[in-house]
Amino acid sequence: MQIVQPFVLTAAVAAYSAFASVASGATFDVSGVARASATVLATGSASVAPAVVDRITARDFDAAAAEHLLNRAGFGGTTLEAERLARLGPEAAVALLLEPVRLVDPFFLGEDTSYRDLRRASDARLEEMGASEKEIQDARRRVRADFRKNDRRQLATYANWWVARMVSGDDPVRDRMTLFWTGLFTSSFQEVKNSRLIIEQHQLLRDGALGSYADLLRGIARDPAMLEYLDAASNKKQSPNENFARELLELFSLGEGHYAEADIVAAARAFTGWTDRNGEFQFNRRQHDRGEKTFMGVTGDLDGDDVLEIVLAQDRCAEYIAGRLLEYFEGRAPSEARVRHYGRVLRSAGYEIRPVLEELFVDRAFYSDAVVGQRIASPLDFMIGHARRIGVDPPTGLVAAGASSLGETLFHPPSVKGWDPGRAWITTTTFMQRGNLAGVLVGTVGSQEFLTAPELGDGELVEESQGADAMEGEMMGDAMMEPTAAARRRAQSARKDDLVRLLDRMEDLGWQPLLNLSARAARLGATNDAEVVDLLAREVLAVELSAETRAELLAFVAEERAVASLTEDVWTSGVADAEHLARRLVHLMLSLPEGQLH
Amino acid sequence: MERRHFLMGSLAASGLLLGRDARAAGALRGLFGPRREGQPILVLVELSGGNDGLNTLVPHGDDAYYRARRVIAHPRADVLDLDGYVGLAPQLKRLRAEYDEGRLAVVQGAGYPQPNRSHFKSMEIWHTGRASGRESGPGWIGHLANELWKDDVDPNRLVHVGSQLPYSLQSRRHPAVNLQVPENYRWAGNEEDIAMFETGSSGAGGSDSQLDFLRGVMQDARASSLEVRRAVARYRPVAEYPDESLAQSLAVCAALIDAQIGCQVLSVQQRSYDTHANQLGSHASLLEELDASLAAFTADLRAKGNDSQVCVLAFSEFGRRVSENASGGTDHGTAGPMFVLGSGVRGGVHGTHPSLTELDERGDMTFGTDFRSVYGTIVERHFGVRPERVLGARYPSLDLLPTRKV
Repeated sequence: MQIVQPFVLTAAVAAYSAFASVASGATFDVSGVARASATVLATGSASVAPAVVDRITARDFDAAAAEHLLNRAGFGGTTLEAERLARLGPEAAVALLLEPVRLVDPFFLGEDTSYRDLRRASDARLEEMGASEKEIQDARRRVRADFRKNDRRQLATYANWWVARMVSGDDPVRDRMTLFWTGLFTSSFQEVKNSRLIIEQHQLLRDGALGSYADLLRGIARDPAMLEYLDAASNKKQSPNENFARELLELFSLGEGHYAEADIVAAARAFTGWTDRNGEFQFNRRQHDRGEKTFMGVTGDLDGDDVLEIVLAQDRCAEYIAGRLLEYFEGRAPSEARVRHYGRVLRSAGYEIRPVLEELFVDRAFYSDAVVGQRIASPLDFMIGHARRIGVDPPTGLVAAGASSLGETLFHPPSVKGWDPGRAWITTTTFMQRGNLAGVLVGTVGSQEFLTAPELGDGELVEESQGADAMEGEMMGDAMMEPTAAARRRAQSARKDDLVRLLDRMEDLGWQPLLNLSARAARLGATNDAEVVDLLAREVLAVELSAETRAELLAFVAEERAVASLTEDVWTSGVADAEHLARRLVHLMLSLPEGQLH
Repeated sequence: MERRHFLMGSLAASGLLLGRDARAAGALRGLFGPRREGQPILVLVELSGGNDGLNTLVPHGDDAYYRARRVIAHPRADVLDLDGYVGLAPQLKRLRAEYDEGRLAVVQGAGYPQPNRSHFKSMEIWHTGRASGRESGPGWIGHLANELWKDDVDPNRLVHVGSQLPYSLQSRRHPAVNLQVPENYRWAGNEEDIAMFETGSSGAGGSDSQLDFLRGVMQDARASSLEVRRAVARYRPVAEYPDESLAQSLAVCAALIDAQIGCQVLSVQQRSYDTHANQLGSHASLLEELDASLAAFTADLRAKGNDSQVCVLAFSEFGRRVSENASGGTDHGTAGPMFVLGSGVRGGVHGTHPSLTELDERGDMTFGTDFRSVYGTIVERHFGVRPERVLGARYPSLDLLPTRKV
């Protein structure tokens, strides 16, 4: 790890400014450079003695704190893992999590054939055969459709590879940070339409996930997927396209309100000619605007690299990234003081991410009540976190499709701003779907649970409306009606539900969750309903149960036992009934509000 | 307005509470909320893929149409003439009947400046009513919801029947119900267990506590799930709906509207309009499905007396190129027709048709009416909301609906 000291950065600013002045031949705004340098120096002096964060003590770093660390720095873990981590103490635990890991199963990209090559081959073949223009056009469409299908398939395969890393990889912090970067440096397959470019961008972000933000920024500015996504091809000398320049400043580096519109215009001009060709970065000299530009107070014949270095020399840049990191890991907007502090940490570490995480993960504020268990899990966190806490290894396709059904489709951010966090994930639809997916994870929900529900066609929800106030008196069978043709059709169409189809496929493949929750509860010493509820809640939930919720869970268990004529001895008997009940209990817990937090 | 309703009664009625009704009765006694009658309702019908407007609303009075489309043109004799210049495609027989009854308004040549020919980008512009698309914030219906209801959350107001929520219904304050199959809009396997738990207040979005917020959503989900499924299960359509998915989705909408459970913007999609090749047969069957589905839906609404409050708006992300391509299809274009359907609609042909000969550099028409004029008119005259509050700007109103004082 290379730590760039402030004076080095200052020198860098002077160096590129000088370069700018030389390159432009004449115009050189001295005052602008002076300002930029002064800013850096001010930062330098401030970072000599950065305020020290209040660190969590070894005593306070208990299993709950360690579990929180696992949830946020990685993708969650079992109570056993949390207890082991807690015993190490905070510093050693964080060091262990951040230890560089080299063992990664490689992902092999398929043969790199472009649509254009395939089309040319098809055209040539048909022309040789004397085909008509229409036949050639039709063949092109088929080639295009095939190409698209294979391309989507490659991306799906890659998504599965990454999901597997997140679910059970040996470098969870890297994958957590990769997720963070994909939300910051967004690109969507929907628009890039090329799996190789998306995958290569992802590898860029993943390889550098714990390295230097500055390197990532420099890399992303030359990344073909990003250039495609933000219209670099149309950023030309005569008609600059501001898309990349705007997002660079607004979303990737400084944040709204920390630059002027004129800076966007200047930056767009500086990046003219930066484009991609055949999947590689290309600088198109003829489309580059070599005129004088003034960007953030620096004037000269600036190019894209100059703009990036000027941006990186701003205190605000480090603060913006620090703020994004804090908000991501803590699930709430950080205080200004902490943003400034972590900005200084990032800056004095030469934009290396690891030192920031090392400090954040032992920061007492990270373990405060306002943070622990107070973040609404994203769809991926819901699927992966619960799979890890439950201790089940779900098919990667289930995780990806499940998260997608909850609103988070890998490589398809809803906009360049990425995904809105927190409450934006939750609607009535997704809230219920989360419960159903939890049931899939523990094996209590299969396609039958959807298809044989009483209200599907056999009339149980079908009774004559007797007005609002008379409902209580209505009992099943009072007014049974034959299901209509429409209801029968819909019962059929229930099979077409995306989740139901996925479950059908899983059942065809014979997937069953490999887990024994009741045995785990017994091993942990549970002998009665209350102990089972408490222990399993501790295993799978990140928040404490309220007294009311706990009472309802206990009532649920007692009643389920009563219906099945089981005594509390069932918990120590090792019979299948106990496991079924334990799974239903966990399914229920994860369907509740408490199951959405981590 | 806070709705504390039902649950108990309906769960008991449905037999879901057997064995636990005593406890549940204590925990969940409640009444149905007031039926919410007479509210304006909008049904959005999205024709995804870029509907070939020129083969939908056919400029049969223009020889340029026949010159540009030697393979795929609708023969003049088959077109269902409206005003001597344009007519409906032969497949739209039932819509023509609606037109004759004065219930169908056709807005010709709807589009927007600097048209984008990407499905995704252009649809974003239609979904937000803004050139910058999603970057500008919520969808236009999301903006409308904020204006209509502020912080008063009722989970059923915005509903999409289909697999993926269109961005138009995107709203943080008023999250939409998104159901593919109404019967599956529920907890599978543990619904009756969940009914036992403490609930929060509907729409607890203002609370700082995440748990309060989530409990509020759980409450809303319970209510909404039961109301939606009951509405659909009880509904007896009068009209015969075709088997296709668009018709089935509209049948669900008819049930939700009839149940008066507070749905005010409903959305459905019909896909596959991206007809680049051999479109004659495929486009005709799409229009046939559209025609039969909308006809069944409106007939059903009328028979149930629900038609006066409902306005249907059909749109697509762009029209297609004037000239057909070599594959008997059409490529992405610009302007196209919009359809506004309903008992309260002022029928007729609105706007001016773009020229088929004065085309842009790609061979596309220049739009005649900004689609946001249609949105704005609906916002103002149907919902009584100032259109600029929803669309961020004022667009000329059209005489699609009777004026209403805002």
